Amino acid sequence: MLRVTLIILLTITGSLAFAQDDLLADLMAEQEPSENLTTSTFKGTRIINGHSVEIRKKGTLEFIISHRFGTLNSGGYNLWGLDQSNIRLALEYAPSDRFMFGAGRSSFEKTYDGFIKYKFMRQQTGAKTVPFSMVYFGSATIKTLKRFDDYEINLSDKMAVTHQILIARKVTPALSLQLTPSYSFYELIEANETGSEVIALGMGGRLKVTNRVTINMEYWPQFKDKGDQYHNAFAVGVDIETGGHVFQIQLTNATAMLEKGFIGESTNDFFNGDIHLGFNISRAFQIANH
Amino acid sequence: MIRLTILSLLIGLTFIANAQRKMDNQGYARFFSEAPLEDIEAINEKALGVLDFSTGKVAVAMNMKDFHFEKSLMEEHFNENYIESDKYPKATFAGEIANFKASDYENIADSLTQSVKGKLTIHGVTKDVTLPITFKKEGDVLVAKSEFIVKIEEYDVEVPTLLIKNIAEEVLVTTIFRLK
Repeated sequence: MLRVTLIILLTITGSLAFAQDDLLADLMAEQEPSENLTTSTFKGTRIINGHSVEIRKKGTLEFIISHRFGTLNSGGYNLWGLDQSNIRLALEYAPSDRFMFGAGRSSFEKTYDGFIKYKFMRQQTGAKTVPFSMVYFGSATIKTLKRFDDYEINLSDKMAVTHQILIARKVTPALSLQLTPSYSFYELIEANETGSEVIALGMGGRLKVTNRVTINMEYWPQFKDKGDQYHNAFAVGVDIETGGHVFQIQLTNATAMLEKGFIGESTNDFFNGDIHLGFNISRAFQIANH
Repeated sequence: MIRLTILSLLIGLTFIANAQRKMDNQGYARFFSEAPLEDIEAINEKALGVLDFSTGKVAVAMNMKDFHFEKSLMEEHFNENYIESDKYPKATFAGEIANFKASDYENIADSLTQSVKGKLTIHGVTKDVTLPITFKKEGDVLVAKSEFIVKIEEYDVEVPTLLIKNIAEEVLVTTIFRLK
C-alpha cells in the first residue's frame, strides 16, 4: 500500500514538475506526426551518367550542359582527350513535384532524345514510413548521324527506347544508394552486333563529404548485351553545389550521355585506361510557383 | 495495483490539462533577409506556441522543413546545406515573461508589450535571448507577435565565402501566435 501511495505521489509531483518546468516538452508531445518526405537523396537529377531518383520541384526549369572529352590515354598530342569533346544540351522541366520531362541533343552520333520521369513512391518517415523512393524513367532517342554506307534506313530504324525503374534509399544523410533495372531496345542491329536488346542493372551511390560536395559512383553491368565489343559503363565523380548550380565532374568509360548509349554501347574499357573526363553543369530557374 | 497506477496517471494528466494554457498549433513564423544579390524569405504556418498563464512561461516549437520558400531550390539548400534539418529538425524557444501577471492579459485595451527571457535553439545551438512580445486581443483570441534579429553565425550556420553575397548574416524573424 505504501508503494502504491508512493507511486501516486511520485506521478503527481512528476507531472506537476513536468507541467511547470517543461512546457516545451509538453508542446512537442502535442505536435502531430506529419508527413516527412526525404529530400535531396542526390544533389542532381543524374547520379553521373544515369538518372537519379531526384525530380526537380514543381515549376523548375533546368538547363543542363554535359561534356565528355576524349580518353585520357589518347596521349599528349590530343591533350589527353581535351581536344575532342562531346556535348549534350538539354532543357528539363518539372510540372509537378513527382513528374518531369526533358529533351536534349547530343553531338555524339547527332542524337536527339526525349525522356519522362515519374516518381510513384517517395521515401518518407513520420505519419507513414516508406523506405524507398521509386521512379519510372522512359526515354526515346533518334540518331541522325549520316551513314557512311549505302544502306537505306528509315526514321524508325534510327530509334532506341529505354525503360528503367529507379529504386533509391537515402540510408543516412550522407549516404544514398540506388539500383536501376534497365531495359533498352534498338530498332537496328548493325552487322557486327548480335542482339537488339540490352538488359542491365545500374548500381549507384553518393557519399556526402561536406554539405556541398559529394562523391558519386556508378556501375552498369549488362546481363544481355548487343555484342562483345561493348563494355559495362563505370563512372566515378564529384558533385559540387553552389547556389543555383550543380557541377558534376566525372571520370567514365562512356562517351554517350544517353541511357541507350552509355549502358549498351560503350566501346571503351575503364580498366584499360579508356577514361573520359567529363562534366555536367546545371542551372535551375524557377519559372512557375511551387 | 495497475488500476491505481492508471488512476495516478490520470490524476497527473488532469494536472497538465488544468494548467491554464492557451496555445496555437498553426502559428506563423517568417524569416527575411536582405542580401546584396537576393532577398530571402521563408514562411512556416505550422509553428506551435503556448503560454502558461499560471506561470508566465512560453514555449515555441517548429519544424524546419515546414518553412517554405518561393524558390524550391533555395528551400532544398536551406534544409540540406544550411540548417541541416535531418540532423536538427526543429527550432525551439522556451522562456518566461518578465514580471508576469495573468490579470494583465484579461483586459488589454490596445496592446501590451512584454519582454520574454529564455533559450532559443536553432540548428542545435542554444542561446540565451531576451525577445519582445506584443499582445493584442481579438475577441477571445490573444494574439502574440514577436520580431527579432537572429545572427546566423551565432547558431553555427556556415556560409561558404563564395556565397557570402547571396546570404545575409542577419535574419529578421517574425512570429505570430493566435493563442486560444
